Amino acid sequence: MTDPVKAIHTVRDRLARLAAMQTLAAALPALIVLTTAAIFVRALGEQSWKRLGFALAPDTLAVVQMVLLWTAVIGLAAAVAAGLWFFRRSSDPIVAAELIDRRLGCHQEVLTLAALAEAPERSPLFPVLWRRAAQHLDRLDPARNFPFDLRRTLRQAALLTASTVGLLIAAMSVLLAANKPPFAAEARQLRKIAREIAASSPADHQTQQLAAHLRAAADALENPKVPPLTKAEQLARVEQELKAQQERHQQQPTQAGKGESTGKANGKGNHGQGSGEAREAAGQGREGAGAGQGKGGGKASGEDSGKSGTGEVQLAQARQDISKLQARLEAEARLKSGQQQKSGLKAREPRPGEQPDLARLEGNGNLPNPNQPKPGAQHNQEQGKLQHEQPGQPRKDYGSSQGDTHLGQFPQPGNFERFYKAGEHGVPLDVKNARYVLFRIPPALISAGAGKSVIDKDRPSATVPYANLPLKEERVAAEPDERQLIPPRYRELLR
Amino acid sequence: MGAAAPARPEDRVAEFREVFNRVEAEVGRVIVGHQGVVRKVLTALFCGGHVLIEGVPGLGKTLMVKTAAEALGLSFKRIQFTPDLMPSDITGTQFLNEVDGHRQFEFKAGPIFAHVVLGDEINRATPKTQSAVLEAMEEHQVTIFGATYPLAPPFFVLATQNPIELEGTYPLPEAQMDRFMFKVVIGAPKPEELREILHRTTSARTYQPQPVLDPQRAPEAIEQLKTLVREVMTAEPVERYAIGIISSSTPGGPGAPPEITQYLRFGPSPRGAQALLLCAKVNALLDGRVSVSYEDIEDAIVPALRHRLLRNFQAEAENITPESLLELVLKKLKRPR
Repeated sequence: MTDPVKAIHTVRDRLARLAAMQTLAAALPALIVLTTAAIFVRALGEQSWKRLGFALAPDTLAVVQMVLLWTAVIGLAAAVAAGLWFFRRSSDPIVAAELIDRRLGCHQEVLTLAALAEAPERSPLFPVLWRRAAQHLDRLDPARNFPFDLRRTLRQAALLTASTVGLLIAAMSVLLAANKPPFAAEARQLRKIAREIAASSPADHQTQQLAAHLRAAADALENPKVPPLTKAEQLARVEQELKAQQERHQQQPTQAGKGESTGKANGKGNHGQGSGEAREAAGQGREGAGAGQGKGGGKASGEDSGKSGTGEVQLAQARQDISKLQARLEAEARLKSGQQQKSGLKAREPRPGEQPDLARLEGNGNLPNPNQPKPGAQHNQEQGKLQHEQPGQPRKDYGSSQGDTHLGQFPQPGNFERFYKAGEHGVPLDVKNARYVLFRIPPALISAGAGKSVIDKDRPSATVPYANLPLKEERVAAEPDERQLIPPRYRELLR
Repeated sequence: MGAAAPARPEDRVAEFREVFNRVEAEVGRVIVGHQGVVRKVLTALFCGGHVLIEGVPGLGKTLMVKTAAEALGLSFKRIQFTPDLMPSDITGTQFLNEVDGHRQFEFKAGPIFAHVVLGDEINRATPKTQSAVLEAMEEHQVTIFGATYPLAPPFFVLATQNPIELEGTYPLPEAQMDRFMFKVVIGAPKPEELREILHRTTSARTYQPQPVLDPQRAPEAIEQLKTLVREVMTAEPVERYAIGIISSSTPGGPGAPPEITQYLRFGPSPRGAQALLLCAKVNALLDGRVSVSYEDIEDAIVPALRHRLLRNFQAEAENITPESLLELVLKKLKRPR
């Protein structure tokens, strides 16, 4: 007859080993996935760049790799700790007895025996319990009754691995989305316009070439490896092509009109009426409806003009977008060059009361005090004048007693700038705390087709008249608690 | 059957099962159906507890108890409780008697002095009279005029109460209900059972139950069997399970479902836990085991705890029964692992 206590202890040891093994086995695939991801994260980054257009910076990838490796190491340690914990928890004979009871259907007889085996006072019925438990345990085969639960282990491993993979994908997606190219939306818009341009004249080789160039410019725009100035140059070339295409489009209706006039002059039947319809259709080109009621050549000319009108809208739109993109790219290029000059000083949006360029001077250690007359002031003034005369050079009038209220260079535009298209009613700009407001005036009014000028009655206008009056002189009794930078023209007043 | 204790524990267990099953079978020859009720009545007898039987008149409550007493070879007395019943009518009294010219008080024992006492419609008597019985149930003795008279073991009280016609009754207070180990409810018989009842009671064929135990030695034998019940072992996890049931049935207790707190004013007392475990031990012995299992505990929950749950007004208004609450507790409570 089996010794019940020994049998319970045998089962206990087996259960403890199984618990530890199953824990480690469940965690192993997830750890392998983590380690593999850590090894191949760079290759994954390259693939993502090639396939999705996203990319992570090499230093970010290195950080990700280290994070993955450390996660794998910590996961391994956690798995070992969990295995030990399960081993200890399953080393309890009461737990083993409970499992034996459940497996053999012993109605807690083995459990009671395990619980009372070492009790100081035993019931007179304990021998009966011992014999009954021994009879139950005679049927027990630990290897058969408590096998390695492969299905459960696989289920746990699959769950853990799927969670790990899901977390990895989510983390990588977040990282990639956070590092999305800055001009992705604009590039998409350019591609859309390129499609529309290509569709407007499928047979025209020049139009198709223009669309291809536009697409190439969009691709370059998204590519973070291409320098901003190169992008700007490419966009400028495309803009030139667009301009040429636009001019070509504008010339076509004129030629068509000339041809119809000739027809009319010759008094050859119905062509004159067709010319008139064609012009009307060209005028309504924005809607893209070539109302070709004319006959003969007049009708054909009207349809062509309708299509060309449609194309012109895209051309004008593309030029507008490209102009904005160029401005942004130039700003970005200036910002980058400024950052390089500042050697580590981080560019940021100027706050009210700050001078953006003052920090740069402070960083260089040669801060001029504009309120103090300087020995070489006259020289500087002359130099400033000279600099003013040099076109394309930034103005440097630090410490000058001449000039206007701003005391330095114009600040470099940052990401807070916002341009509106002509006629666009966007979110009102809050310039309350802005120190400088730059207005970019378009070089020429871009008219989409032959549009009609209307008065914007909704435009906000001042209701109370105002005038530029001198400021009322006010003196503040309190001493200023900080050094005020006084514009030169007010220094005499304030003294 | 002899009352001498068998040497081997296995034989003692076998004897318990034999006595129990034979008495059960003997009662079953007279009483049709109600096997569960009979089993619980006998379980309470072997646990040393008392039973409150609730059922409408005419369901054979008195016959069942009388038959069980006869089968066990024990003395049986029946008390019909009425509003004018006095405590002395139950416990007995001293009367003045003249013997050989000398007057002396003699004690006249009441019907409480029996092994099996049936208190019929106990809720019709006044609380004072009820208390006299309930004191005897708890103390196993009565005190009359300063003299204490022990009740011969085994002392087993079965009280019945009618769930209808409550006008003019004195419902048992919760504290007194708690002294009953079980409360069993007798339902109406099924059609087949009713047919069998008609056959047995309206024909010339009658059956006189045969005593399973020798009437001379029955009290001693039953006491030994009661001792055997208490020797049944319980593992700590099983005890914790029983305690968990009690805690979960107590409003605001650890692990109590929100419904318990919502519908109960008070939960079971420690007497409830005792009843639960003793009943489980009898269940284990009847299964041939000497240790209590979770199933044994679960089987005892409803009869042992249903009269110990004190419902609030909301529960009564919504017709929430103690049985449904105990089922809820059982469903939500997990066995310890």
